[in-house]
Amino acid sequence: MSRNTTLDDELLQRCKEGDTSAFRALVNTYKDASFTLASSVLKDSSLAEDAVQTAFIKVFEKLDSFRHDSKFSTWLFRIVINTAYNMAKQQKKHMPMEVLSDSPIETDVDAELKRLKEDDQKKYINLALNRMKSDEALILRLFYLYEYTIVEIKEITGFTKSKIKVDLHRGRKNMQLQIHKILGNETTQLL
Amino acid sequence: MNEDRAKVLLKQSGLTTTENFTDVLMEKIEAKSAVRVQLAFTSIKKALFFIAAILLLLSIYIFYSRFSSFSEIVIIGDLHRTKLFAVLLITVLLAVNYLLKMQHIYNNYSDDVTSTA
Repeated sequence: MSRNTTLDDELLQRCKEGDTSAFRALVNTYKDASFTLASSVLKDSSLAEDAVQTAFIKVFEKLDSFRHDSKFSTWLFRIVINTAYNMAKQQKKHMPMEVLSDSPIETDVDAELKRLKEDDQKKYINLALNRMKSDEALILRLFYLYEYTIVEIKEITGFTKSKIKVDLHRGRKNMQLQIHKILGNETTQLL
Repeated sequence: MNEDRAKVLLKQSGLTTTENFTDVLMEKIEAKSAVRVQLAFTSIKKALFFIAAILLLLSIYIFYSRFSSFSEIVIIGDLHRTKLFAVLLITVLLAVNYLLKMQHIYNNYSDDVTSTA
């Protein structure tokens, strides 16, 4: 995730001095990315928001313990992801909440694909990610959406390098499979 | 699916929080900070646990080294040292139990305040 770390450091310093507006700025910068990652794990927007709120509160309380060994975003996302996994464990909701069918969604596929603009694509991609395993969806987003390296993903998630590489490979395949299940055979325009 | 296509598709997979996310969060943080100021209990709890641990270790030392050759402690009358040790141990355990209860009440109160903020 490309971000000026000097700016983060300045905001962090102000936070430590008790400036809550600086923390608000950090929240506004990272809330969407944190929410996206938490959603990858929890598959539920309401739970994901709760997890991100809890994570930000933890971060606020532990700001003094941040030693700048890594980027702030790395530290934050590690807390977000741990919180999300803990919440998933508590809720026993590793599986998607909705009952998912393996059969393609009953739609007029031709008409649907013609209207497949960017918003539609986004909807189907997120639906496909929502149907995938938490680890795979999380790693795909960290790698392709936020452009973290495998070493950074290892630091954020605590997964081994080999697991990350395997999940990247499987994740791409599974995403294709899920998109195929959602759109039926007419997936060529999207893929 | 090749890597480039995966990247293009996944670039669209970012999600956004609800509009009032930051406001709700900052309210929670402010509420939690207020509670912490009112009930700065954690540091007291740690100090008391430390004192309790020291007392316990000291008691063990006294009863098993200093008075190991006596069956009764003369200065306290005819009270058997094992009974005295048991009383002291129960007192320490009760104190620890009390502290844990207080901590539990404090945690519940903090959670209630933040969840309603």
